[in-house]
Amino acid sequence: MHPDSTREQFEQIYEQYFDSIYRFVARRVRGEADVQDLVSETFLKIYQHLPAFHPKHEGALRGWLYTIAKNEVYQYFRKQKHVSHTPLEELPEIASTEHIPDLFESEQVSTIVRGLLEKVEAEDREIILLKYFDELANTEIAEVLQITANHVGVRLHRGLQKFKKVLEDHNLHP
Amino acid sequence: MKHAEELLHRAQKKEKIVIDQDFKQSLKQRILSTPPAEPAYDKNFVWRRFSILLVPALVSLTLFFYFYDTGSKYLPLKKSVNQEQAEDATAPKSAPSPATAGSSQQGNAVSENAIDRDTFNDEKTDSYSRPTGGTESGILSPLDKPGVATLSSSSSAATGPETATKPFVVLALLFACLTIMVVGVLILKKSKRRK
Repeated sequence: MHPDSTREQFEQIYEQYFDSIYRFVARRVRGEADVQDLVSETFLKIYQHLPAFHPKHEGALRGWLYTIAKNEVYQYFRKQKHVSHTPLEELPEIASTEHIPDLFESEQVSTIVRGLLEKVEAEDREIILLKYFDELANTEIAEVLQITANHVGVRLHRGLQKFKKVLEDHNLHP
Repeated sequence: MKHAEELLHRAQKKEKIVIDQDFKQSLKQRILSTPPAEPAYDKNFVWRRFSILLVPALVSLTLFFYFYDTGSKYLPLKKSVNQEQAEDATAPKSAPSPATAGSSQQGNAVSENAIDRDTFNDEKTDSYSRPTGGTESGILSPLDKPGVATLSSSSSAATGPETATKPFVVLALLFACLTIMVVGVLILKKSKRRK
């Protein structure tokens, strides 16, 4: 691939996917400095490996970008030996009398839901985050996690059931 | 289930992640100022694949050709039995060997015994009595029968058990190389998947 065309392609990718990749990293890593470092590393790798990337199908690019970002995040956790993405003490307390409609209107709904997701197993949580927060299609999730799209469906269903159980345990069911 | 999904969507909409626009622009400029490099790990990956596969393959081929050339001497057991039987059948024509030779009478008795054994099923004559006669004469004991005698007294048969184990060693080595190759391929597949 010609350097100029790589440059143009990268600029296009950067403008289109920077925000979503940044959010993807920020959801998993605490601390703005660490997030920025990881995002920098991610896009640098994207730029370096772009000439060798040949998408096999439509949507493969997005899966590839998230795979690079995911690998950077996993590498970060391996170095830091962090287990929990969000320290539980930082999460707001959830009132036991709170119900779904109240929670929907709450300004802190995102933080509360993220806190509740911490109670779901890491494997199921990751797939829920990819589906509902990163808004990836099942095929893209399959590419990121190196599993089949059918397996994504099965694991997503199982993860949602567990999340529902967590909501019920906190009396957060309709 | 639907409420859980709605809650997740809602949480995503309400999510507040502030992106520093200065960082975004500066990062873009910084990355674009560096030339896009060829991915280095591709070359390493190819080299690792070849080294893992090539070394056991070369060892296997070397072993194969080495034992292919010299392999004939590692099949002595079966061959010696056949040879001995063939030699026994032609024994009267040649001179009696020192191992079985006591006298020419004994040589004749051995050869007759061998012929009678071969023709026993066809002829069913009084030839059956001849070995008995031989035994009675004290010249031949049951252990002196040709088949038994060659297995126990032949020099090539004596080395048979030792050499017969060598093909198994070769097979074990080949199997080990094959296992290394398979494991190598599996490791490479896994490392590729991680990338």
